[in-house]
Amino acid sequence: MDIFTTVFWIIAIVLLVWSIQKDKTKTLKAFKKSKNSLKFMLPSILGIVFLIGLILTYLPPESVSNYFGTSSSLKATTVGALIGSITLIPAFVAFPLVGSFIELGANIVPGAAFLTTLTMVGVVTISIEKEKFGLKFTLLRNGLSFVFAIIIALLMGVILL
Amino acid sequence: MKMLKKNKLLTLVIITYIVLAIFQRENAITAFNNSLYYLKEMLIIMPIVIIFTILINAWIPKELISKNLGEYSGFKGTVFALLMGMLSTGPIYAAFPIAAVLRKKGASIQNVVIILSAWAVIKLPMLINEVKFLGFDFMITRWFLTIIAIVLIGKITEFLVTKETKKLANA
Repeated sequence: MDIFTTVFWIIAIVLLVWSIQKDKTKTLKAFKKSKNSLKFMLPSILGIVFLIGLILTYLPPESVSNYFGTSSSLKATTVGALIGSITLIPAFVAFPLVGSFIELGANIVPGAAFLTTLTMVGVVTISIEKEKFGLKFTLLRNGLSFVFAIIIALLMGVILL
Repeated sequence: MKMLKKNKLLTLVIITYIVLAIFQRENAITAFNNSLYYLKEMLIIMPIVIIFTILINAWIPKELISKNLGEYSGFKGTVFALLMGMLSTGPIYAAFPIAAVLRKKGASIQNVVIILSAWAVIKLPMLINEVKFLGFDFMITRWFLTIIAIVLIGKITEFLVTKETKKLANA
């Protein structure tokens, strides 16, 4: 467990104990409310967890390197953003991965697009997001994130290169 | 069974594993083992998320949320939403229940988008990792541009989603 997660665990437990002591019925009522909204989500998250395992088996992180070239063109950047949207490489793997590509001479622009869509655009999590916030919200947020990831990456090329 | 019927994704994933176990045993085992790490991550994160949704449901009044994250919370609301997203941990699916409770209690669509996106892409643990592998300049440039983008995405999403509802309300 990293330090952030540990801190959040401590805060959560302290506050929960405080909540139960202050008003047990109120806490219990809130628990029931939360339980109802999570009933749908937990099985879906479980599905996502095991889907990640499948994707990592058939599309291992190293295979992504084939798509990163030395170009910072719109096309290369769009490809980077596309790969980031469909793959589910966790951030702690993705950063060293992209770092190693750049060390080997890959351009940072597609890499930046890839990193941004990787976490912000979730094709796999769409089913949960849709259930909670509606289809239109979900498509807009993911679609706009995709477009902005490309813009961010191209701007980074202008600023950093 | 009822649970499976209601969750197409989980059902589909289970069926895929069963089919793979028959035809490509090796890959099914690898995939399962790959998943275990994420299962552990889920088991560590979700209890915290559940506790926080309970606490928000029980103790944070609607007025407080609509005042600080609602449609008229303005610049303060934006900053608040950005901070909430950044000071988080765990994958984006962990953000959904929290954002959903806040939305129910009066947070605006714009700020919900900001929380979700900041949580996904510029949370503090991630930024630290980014500095380590890609350098400070890379991180700070991406951080700054991403904040601008997230706020714009929030504004556009809110505008387009509420436009629809307003049209429906008038019809």
